[in-house]
Amino acid sequence: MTMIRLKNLSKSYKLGKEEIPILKRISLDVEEGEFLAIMGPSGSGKSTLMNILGCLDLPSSGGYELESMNMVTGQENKLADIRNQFIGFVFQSFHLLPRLTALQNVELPLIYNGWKKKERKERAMDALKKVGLEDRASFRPPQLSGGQRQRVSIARAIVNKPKFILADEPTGALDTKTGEQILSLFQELHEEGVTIIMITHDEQVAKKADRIIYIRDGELFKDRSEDAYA
Amino acid sequence: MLENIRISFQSIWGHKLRSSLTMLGVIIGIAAVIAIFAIIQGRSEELKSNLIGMGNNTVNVVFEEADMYEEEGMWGGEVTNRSAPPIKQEAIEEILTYPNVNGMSIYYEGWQEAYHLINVTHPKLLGIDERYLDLFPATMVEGREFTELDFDSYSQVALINDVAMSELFPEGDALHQTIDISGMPFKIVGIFSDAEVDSDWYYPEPTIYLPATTWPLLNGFDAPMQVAVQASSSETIQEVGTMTADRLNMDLPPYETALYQVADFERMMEEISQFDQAFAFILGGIASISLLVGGIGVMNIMLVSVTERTREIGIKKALGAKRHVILAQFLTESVVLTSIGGVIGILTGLGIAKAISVFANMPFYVSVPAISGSFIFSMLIGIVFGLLPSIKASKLQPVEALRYE
Repeated sequence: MTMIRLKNLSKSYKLGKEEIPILKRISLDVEEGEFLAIMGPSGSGKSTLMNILGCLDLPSSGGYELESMNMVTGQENKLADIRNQFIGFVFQSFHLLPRLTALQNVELPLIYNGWKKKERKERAMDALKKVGLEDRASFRPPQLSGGQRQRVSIARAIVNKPKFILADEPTGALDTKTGEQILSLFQELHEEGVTIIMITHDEQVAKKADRIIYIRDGELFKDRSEDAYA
Repeated sequence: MLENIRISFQSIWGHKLRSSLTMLGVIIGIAAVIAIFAIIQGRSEELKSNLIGMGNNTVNVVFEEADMYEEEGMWGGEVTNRSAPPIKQEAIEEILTYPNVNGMSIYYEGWQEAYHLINVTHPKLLGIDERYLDLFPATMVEGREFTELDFDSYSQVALINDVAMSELFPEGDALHQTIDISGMPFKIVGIFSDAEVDSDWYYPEPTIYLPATTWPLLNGFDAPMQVAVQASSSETIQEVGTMTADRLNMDLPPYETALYQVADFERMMEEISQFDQAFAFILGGIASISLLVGGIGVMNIMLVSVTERTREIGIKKALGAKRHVILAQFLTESVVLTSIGGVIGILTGLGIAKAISVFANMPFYVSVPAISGSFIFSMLIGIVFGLLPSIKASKLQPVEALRYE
């Protein structure tokens, strides 16, 4: 079943009078339960694609559907709800709040979703257990190692049981060994049926995914050859 | 909400120096208001209670030309030199039966030298009737008060206070001695000290009491009298005074142009409160300037704080925080900051006022409306000056905020 459908999606920025295209008529289907890697060098438009997939930014034209729901809406609060309920973010630099404990960080999406305190704590604790950090629940990010921090942010991504996880260079700030552990955690989640979209520039990392697509100069390719994907 | 307040405290505590410097403006402004208010209020409360009712709900009914209080305001007016016709005993008895009248006294008052051997004093001399000490109690140190017999038989006896005693009898032992007033001998039958006429305004002065019936011996039969009535409470002073004056006026001969009158306390009150208002106005001006400066400081720091926390805002927005959540967070922080400043300012202000009242021997009055008003105002500053930075924070775009390093 197709979960995400991008149709002729374009994005361009205005720089003075000039219109600079970043994404050019991109079309992409992602199946439910798929583990997809999007690869591309810097400047290829992969960050912009990820922002649009994450509903952090809006496309200039084209369609974006998630389970047949139209995701292109101008309302800020609606987008906030979509991000909160449907998407789990994992960032390269973790993006944890340093003054909150691991548990509190994981609780954040539930707070914005209006959960009651007790259930919130239980749910967040379950997510931490899932990434094997229940014994670090009361630690603050600066007291955790890089791998542990990334696992906290994965716990935060899955705590609201999102439709898919959007991971932006999840191993970029980690050493190879720790990166491996994070990737195997993703594979575990994938085996449980979670849809994952991972953005990376590292071939070794991308290989862990079911499918790799390449992005270059704002266009998608099935492989490194010049054939356009769509 | 509670969570927001807790987070605000954490964040303020996390930047102790910066937060306290920011609060300083608010603290100084509020402290100044509270301190000056406490002192001025204290003064004016005391002024009121002394002016009106001499501290014990007593008021003088004065025999004066009819238009005294009408034309000249509070203190002006011609005081007549003529004395009032004698007051009938039945009028006094009638007034004493009026509601809310606690007591009444008719007495004479003047300043006359008194001698004992080579010692002299210049006391306040009072010719008192048998009810005077009920209204203005004195504590007897030695001897006795006047008896009915003293009044009825025109006894030349005197009560002197401890100040007069120390001036006339430096060696002590004044009881049963004779003093000389205008060439007349008076025997001291009692020594008193002024009862707690509870104020710093009364400087202890030598005072000598004589029976009112002996007053004509010294000053003739037409010496002007004083009439004092005591009301049961401060609220009824005006009413009691007016009723007394009206009753006494009934007995005046028709050709009399002077009347018994009482001061218009409501008008006096009004003038005092106008004075207070003028002060409050100046004060308000000074305070608003310092609070404005304080508020701008708060706004400045909040703007810095928003910039510093751009990434935090981005993360929260990415995770689904809506605009109002971010707005509430920063607004709460700003209000908590200025409220803490307000509380510290109130405590500091009260401390300063207390210190001034102790060192300068001034009354001190804790005004609850001033305190609660200041607190609410400090919160208001937080809202007003926190609004712009909070709106700025809430409007940040998540993409740009996340990219911010």
